[in-house]
Amino acid sequence: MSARAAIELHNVEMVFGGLRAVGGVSFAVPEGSIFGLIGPNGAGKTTVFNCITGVYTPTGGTIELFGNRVDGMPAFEVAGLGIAHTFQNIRLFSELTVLENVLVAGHLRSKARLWDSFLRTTRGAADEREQREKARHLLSLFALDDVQDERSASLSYGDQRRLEIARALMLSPKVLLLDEPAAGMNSTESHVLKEQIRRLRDEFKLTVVLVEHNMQVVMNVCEHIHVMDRGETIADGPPETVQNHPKVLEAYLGKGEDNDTDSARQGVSDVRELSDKSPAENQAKSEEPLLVVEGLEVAYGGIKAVKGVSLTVNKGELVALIGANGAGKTSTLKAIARLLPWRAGRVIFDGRDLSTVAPHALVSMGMALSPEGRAIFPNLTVRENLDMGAYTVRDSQAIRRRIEQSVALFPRLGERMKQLGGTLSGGEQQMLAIARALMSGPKLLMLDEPSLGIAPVLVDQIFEGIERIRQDGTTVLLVEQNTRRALGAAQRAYVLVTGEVALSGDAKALRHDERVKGAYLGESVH
Amino acid sequence: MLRKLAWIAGALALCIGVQFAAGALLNAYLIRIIAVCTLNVMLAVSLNLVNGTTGQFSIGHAGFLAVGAYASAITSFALDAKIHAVVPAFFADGVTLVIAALAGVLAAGIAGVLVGVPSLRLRGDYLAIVTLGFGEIIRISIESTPAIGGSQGYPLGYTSIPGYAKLAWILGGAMLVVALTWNLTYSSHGRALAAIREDEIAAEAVGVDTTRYKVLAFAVSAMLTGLAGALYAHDATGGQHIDPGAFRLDRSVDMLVMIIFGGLGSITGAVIGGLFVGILLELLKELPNLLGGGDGALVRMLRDNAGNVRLIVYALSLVLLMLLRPQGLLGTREFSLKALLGRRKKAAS
Repeated sequence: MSARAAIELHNVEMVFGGLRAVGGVSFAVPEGSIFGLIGPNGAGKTTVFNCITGVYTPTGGTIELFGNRVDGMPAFEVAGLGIAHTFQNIRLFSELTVLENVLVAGHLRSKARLWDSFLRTTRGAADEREQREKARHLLSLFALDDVQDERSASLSYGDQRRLEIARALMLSPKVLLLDEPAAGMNSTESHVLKEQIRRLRDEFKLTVVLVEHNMQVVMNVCEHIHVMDRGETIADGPPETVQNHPKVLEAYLGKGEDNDTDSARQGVSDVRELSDKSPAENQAKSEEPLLVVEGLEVAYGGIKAVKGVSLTVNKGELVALIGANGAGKTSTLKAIARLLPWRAGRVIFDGRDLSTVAPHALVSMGMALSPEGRAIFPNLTVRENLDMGAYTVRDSQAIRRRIEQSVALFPRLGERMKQLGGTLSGGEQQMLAIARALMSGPKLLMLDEPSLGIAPVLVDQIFEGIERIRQDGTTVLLVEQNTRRALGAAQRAYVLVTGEVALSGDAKALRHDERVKGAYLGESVH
Repeated sequence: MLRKLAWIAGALALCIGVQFAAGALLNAYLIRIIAVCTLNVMLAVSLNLVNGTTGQFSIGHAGFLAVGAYASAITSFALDAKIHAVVPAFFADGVTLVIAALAGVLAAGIAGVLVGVPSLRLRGDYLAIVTLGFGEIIRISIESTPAIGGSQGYPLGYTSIPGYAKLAWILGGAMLVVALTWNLTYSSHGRALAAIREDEIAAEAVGVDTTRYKVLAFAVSAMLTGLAGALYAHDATGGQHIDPGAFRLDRSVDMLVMIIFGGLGSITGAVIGGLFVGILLELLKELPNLLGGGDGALVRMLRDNAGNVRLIVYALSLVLLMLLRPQGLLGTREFSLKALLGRRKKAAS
């Protein structure tokens, strides 16, 4: 590997309004390497990515491509200088054919002038032939030459991903940035992808930068990894170093209940300490199932997000559904709540098959969802938000009683009854979202990421609230990215990995299970 | 090269052939309809470059048409006598027309750049409003400029624009417009335009200077519309007189209907749409006569409300189109005999 840096970031900073999305990130991508940029949700990876590709102009710092400043250049110029990239959510020219998609990217290197196009000159025709030849060659590398005349939108998901890479290569780039290339791929496909990334690097003499959530892929294919959290660098180095870095573990797995902010060994020992003080340990478990999910499948277009998930939640239990970003947790929850169509499978709630039940009818059946991102009504007061949650309840006595219960559960809400929902802090909004879900008097409360983006103090209060809700007899299904927290609160847990249940069982046992860590950070093969 | 020459020779032969055949076989009214429909085709194909291929939204193309028509008419009016004094009589009419048309193309092209520049920042509805405003500004400016006739139209008095644009010229113009847009659309530049339509961010990411290409699309489209305007002003079968009333918003809407009917993004679709709207409008004009003429209540109603009837028929045909074939007649595809026959075969087997 040469010592020269292909891309070098110095103190790159990006501020949106008052929000500091990236605060002084520096790293160098060695020429010819495969470089990983990782971090949990909201770490600022995509913002850094967009600064490099010219979508954003960084508010501070410099970005260099082989020593030449590229920050602040428009995206098409950056592309012209040799930084090609793919998109996280696939952006093909869907009405154009597969071949045309690739040919668009050849336009920059085309020698044909406007007049050549208008008049179909011999020069234009020769250039067109050359371009087509190159495009076909690239397509053949990805086994897409058979479908070159199909509309690109008609391709399968995996083929669309590959076509996007082929299109990027048509730019004859020096650096290839891939944004979550393995998203939505199954393990076989992502295995093939790893090989392809290596082969591309060698064949096209590329430097590859990878932003990826699939840790199996990242740890396996990257030679150097830069880890970000909350807009800042937390680790940098080869995969083995990064994988066991305490700050990285903390960023991905969350901190334990222990509020000690000390880093170093703390992150690891947390796991053991936690096991000694489990809050819900000796609770009697009823074996009567309230929610049974069998072989549930959910797909977005061609992408299968949930691939046959089965789980059971018994009456009175608190069950956690955990897993890395993109594992399918939220999709599973939404599918149970009938907010997403099922591709296959069955959901039985309180003895009834839900396949024909409309989402709004679920509320009166006793199912309530507190969605990810809270989704409170920002222009209604706290009180009005709570009233909306009781939309299906006719009994005004019951409504009053439940509002009192909410206040008892989250005293903060009592202080803010007349305040507009949108003016609450993130943690307070989360409390409101939970309280609102409880207003319908549900048998099953489903919580989606109640601790996401919330200050630690408030997270404590929220988790205390959740524990009390369960003690009051409401069954809870909890989706949570803070694994340690979730396993601390739950009796049983299911661990999702790329849309499948990889592990399940007693939450206490899972706390010690090294495989849970593997599900998040991937197993090292080095 | 040889093939290209053969194409050009064929096109010329066709223009002249049609001219003579039409003169010998058809009456003046039918020739007029052919000319109007051909002009429509030019308008539809040019507008399609912006609205169909590049995915921008202009409803101000009547403005470009007006600029082309006025600029060319003023030019030919000013230069007609001078050119006839120096150029041999046989060529003089043609040379005057070509020079006038070039003036129209140039003026409309400049207007196209002027409108194209704001389009860099605007999308969708906002761009539509800007172009609409542009069209109206052009029309109102003409109305309030007495030197070019104001609302009376141009030219004033008992003179008229020389009717040099015989059917052959109009056909030739249409073929030129179709050939140029076809070549552009199906080239590497045209793919860049289509990429903007499909996904602007992705287009930037693969190196397309979206700003430059949007202005290019506007400028080329405006120039071609300007050419149509020049031929419209000099149309031998027309009134040889232009007035601002011909360049109202409904003219732009007519153009829009043509390309929506044919399928946005399809050149052959735009050709079919142009012919369809031309014939439809003519039939609507003739509706009272087709119903037997006379002075019945229905006929009188139709005659008195010609404008409204037209709108109703438009609305109905568009609603039907959206219900039956929302992507337009051809979608973004081009009409091809091969594909048609291929599909037949597939269906048969």
